Amino acid sequence: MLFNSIAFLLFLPLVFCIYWWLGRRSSLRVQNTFIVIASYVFYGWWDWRFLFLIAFTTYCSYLSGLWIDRSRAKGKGKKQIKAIAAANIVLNLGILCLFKYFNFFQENLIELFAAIGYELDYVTLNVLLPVGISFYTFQALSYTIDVYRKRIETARDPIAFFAFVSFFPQLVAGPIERATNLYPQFLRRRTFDYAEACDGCRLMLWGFFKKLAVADSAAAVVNVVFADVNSYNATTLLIGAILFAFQIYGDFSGYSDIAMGTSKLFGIRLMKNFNLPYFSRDIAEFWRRWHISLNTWFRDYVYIPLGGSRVRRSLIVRNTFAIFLLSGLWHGANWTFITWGAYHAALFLPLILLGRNRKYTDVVAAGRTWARPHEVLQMGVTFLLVTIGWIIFRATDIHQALHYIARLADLSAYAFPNLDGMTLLVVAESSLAIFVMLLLEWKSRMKPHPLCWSAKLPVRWCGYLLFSVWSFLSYTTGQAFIYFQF
Amino acid sequence: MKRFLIRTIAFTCLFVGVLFILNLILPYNPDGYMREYFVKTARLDSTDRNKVVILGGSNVAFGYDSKLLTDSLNRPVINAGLHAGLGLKFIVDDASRYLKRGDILVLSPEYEHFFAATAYGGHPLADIFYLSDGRVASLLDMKQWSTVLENTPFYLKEKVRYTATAWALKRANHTQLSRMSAFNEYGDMVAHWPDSLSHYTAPAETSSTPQELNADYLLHFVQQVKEVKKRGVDVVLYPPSVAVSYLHSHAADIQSVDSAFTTLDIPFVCRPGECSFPDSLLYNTHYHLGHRGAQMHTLHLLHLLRDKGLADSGN
Repeated sequence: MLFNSIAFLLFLPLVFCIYWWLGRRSSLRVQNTFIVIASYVFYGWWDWRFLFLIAFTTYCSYLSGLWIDRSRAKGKGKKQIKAIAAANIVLNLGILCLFKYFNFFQENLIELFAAIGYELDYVTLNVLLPVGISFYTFQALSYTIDVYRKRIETARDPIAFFAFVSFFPQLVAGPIERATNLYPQFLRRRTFDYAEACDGCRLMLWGFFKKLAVADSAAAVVNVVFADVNSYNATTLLIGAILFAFQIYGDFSGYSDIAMGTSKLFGIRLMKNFNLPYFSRDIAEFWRRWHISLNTWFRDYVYIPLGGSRVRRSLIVRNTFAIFLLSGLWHGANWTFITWGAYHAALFLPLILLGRNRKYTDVVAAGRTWARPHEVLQMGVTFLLVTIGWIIFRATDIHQALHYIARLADLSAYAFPNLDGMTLLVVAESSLAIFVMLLLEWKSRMKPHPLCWSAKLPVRWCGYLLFSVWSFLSYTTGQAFIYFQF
Repeated sequence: MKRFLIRTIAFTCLFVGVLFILNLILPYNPDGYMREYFVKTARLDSTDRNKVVILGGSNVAFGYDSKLLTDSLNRPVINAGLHAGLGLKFIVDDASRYLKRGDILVLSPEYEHFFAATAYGGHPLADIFYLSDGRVASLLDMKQWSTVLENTPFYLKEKVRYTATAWALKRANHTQLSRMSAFNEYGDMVAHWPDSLSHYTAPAETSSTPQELNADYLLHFVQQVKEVKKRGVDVVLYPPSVAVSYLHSHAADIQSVDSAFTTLDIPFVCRPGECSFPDSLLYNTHYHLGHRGAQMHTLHLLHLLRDKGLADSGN
C-alpha cells in the first residue's frame, strides 16, 4: 500500500482509531497484536505472498535470539553461540541474495566464463522481488547481532517482536530501525500524546510535500531526459541531473518523514534518517546526513568489526571500499549501484586517510542567517560531486552514465534547454517547490523539521493549508517511492 | 484525543473547502481539448439518420477523414474518438447510449486498453466527470470512481496551470493540437493536416516485454459489444492505425489481443498489420496519423465496409 494512495487515506484513520480504542480498553498484547495485523494488511496489499517471507524471517530471527539465550544459560561455548547467530545471518542474507541478486550474479558469471571461451548453462529465476526485503532483513539481522553482542535483552514477547520487524510505517522503505531503539517501545504501553500526534501530522505533511511537490514533479522531467539522453543538449541534461538529485532526496526523505510522522501518531518514535544532506560541506558530512539508518548499520555491523579506521592504512582503504561497495550493492543488482558506491568510496577515502572525515560535525552557519561565501562554495562543490554520483545511480547502465557525464563536460553543448513548453513549465513548477523546500530547510536547520512554527494558530493553519493544497495538486497516479525497489 | 480528532476534522473540512472554492473560481481552458467531448456527444445525440460512428481514443480522432467517408457512404459519419485516457469501458458505455438500430459502429480501440487497468481510464475521465458536473456518474463503476478520485488533483492542477499561463496559451502556435478548435465539424483532429512532416520518432526499444491481458475487462468488452449488436447496430471491430515500428516492437501484445478477439467470437474485420503505416505517415505518436495517413486509412475502412455490404445508402 502506497502512502500516497486512496487505500492508505482510508487505512490510516481506521487503524489509528482502533489502535487507541484498544489502547484504552485492552492490554498491551492486544494493542501490539493489532499493530501486527494492521502491518501485515499494509504489506500484503502489494502481494499476499510476501507475508510468508517476512513472517519466516521474523520467526527465524526471534528463534535465534531465544536459542542464543538458552545456549548462554546452559554455558555453551562462544563458538556455538556464534554459530547460531551466523546461521540466522546466513539464512536471512541468503534469502535476500536469492531474491535480489541471483540473476545478476549468474549473468555476470556466464559473461565472465564466456569471455574465456566457456559456455555455462543458464537458469533464470523469475522471482518477484518482495517490496522492502532489504529493509526488514537488515532490521531483523541487527537484532540477532545485538543479542549476540549482548547489547539487547533477548526478545521473549513474540508479538512485540513481530510488531518491531513489521511495523508498517517503516516496513518497506525504512528507516532501518535498531532493535535497541524500536523493540523496547513495543514492550511499553503507549498513551496518546496530543503534542506528539500534532507534530506527527506536521511531519507527515512535510513528507508529502517533499514527495509529491518536489520529487514527483521532478520525476516527470527526469524520466523524459534519462529515457533519451542523446536527444537533449547539455543544459537539459544538467537540469535532468539536478532534478534527479532533488527527486531522490524528496522521495526518500519524504517517505522517512511520513514514516516518522505516522509512527508518532501511534506513540512510537523512529530514528531520523535524513539530516539536511544537501547542506553538507564535504562528502564525509554528506554521508553522516544521508540515509543515516543504513550508513550507521554498515558502520556498526561491517566497518567497525573489520577494524574501522583504527587499523593500518591499507586496511582502512579495504574497509572503506567494503562498506561503500556493499552499500551500492544493497541498492540493487546492477553495476551502476556498485560503481556509485565505488565512486563515493573514492571521494571519501582521502578525507579519512587525512583524518578530516569529522571536520564538520556542527550545523552549517549555526547562529547565523546566511552561510559565508566559502561555506556556499563548499556546499555547492559537495552537491555537484553528489549529483555526478546520482547520474551513475540513475542511469540504466555504466555506458549511459559515462555518456551522460561526458555530454555534461562538453561546454560547447550548452544552449537553451531543448524541452517542449509543457516540460519547461514542469521544470519551473519543480524548481519552485525545490526552492521553497531548501529555503524552509535552511531557515529551520536548528529545528526538528521545517513545519515547527511558533506563530499563532490561524497563521500556522494557513501555512499548513498552503502546503496541503500544493501537495494535493502535485499528486499524480502510480508514482511509487524510488526506494521501494530496494 | 478528542481535541486532536476535532482539530483534524476541522482542518480536513477547511482543506476540502479550499479545494472546492478553487474548483469554483478557477476556469478550465474554454478551448481545452477535452471540451470536444461535449461537441461530439451533442453531434451523436442530434443525428437522427442512420449514422456511422467511429469510436476509440485519439487514434480515431487523428485517424480519419470523415468528410471523405460521409461523401462516399452518403450517410452522416461522426468521429467520436477523443482520448484513450477516457478508458474504453467509458468510451463504449457512453457512446452506446446514442446508438440505435441501423447505425454502424466502427470500434477501433487502442491496444493498451486490454492490458493493466487502462480500460478504466486516467485523468481525461476525471476531466469529463467534472466538466459534465457529474452527469456521467451513472456510467461509472468502482474502478472508474477510483480513477476519478485519484485524478481529481490533476484536474485542479490543470485549472491552476491554465490560470497561470493563459497569456502564453493565447500566443501559442496555431497548429497546437491540444485544443477543441483543432477539430473539424465531423470530429476529426485537423489542425496538423497542413503540416506534411512527420514529428514521430520511434523509441529505441526494438521489442517490448509481453504483458498479460486484462481478462476481466476483455470479457466485459465482449459483453458491451454483444449488447450493442443486440440493439440492431452493425459493429465493425477495426484495428487501430499504428506505426509499423510499433507493430513490430509490440507484436506479442497485438497478437494476443487479436487472438483473444478471435477466440471470443468478436474478431477484427482485418489483420492488425493492414492498419499499420510507415512511420513517416505518423504525426507525433505511434497512433496519430498525419493527413495523408488519415486519408489512406479512411479509404481502407471504406473498402472494408463495402466488402461487408455496409456501404450502401444510409436512408
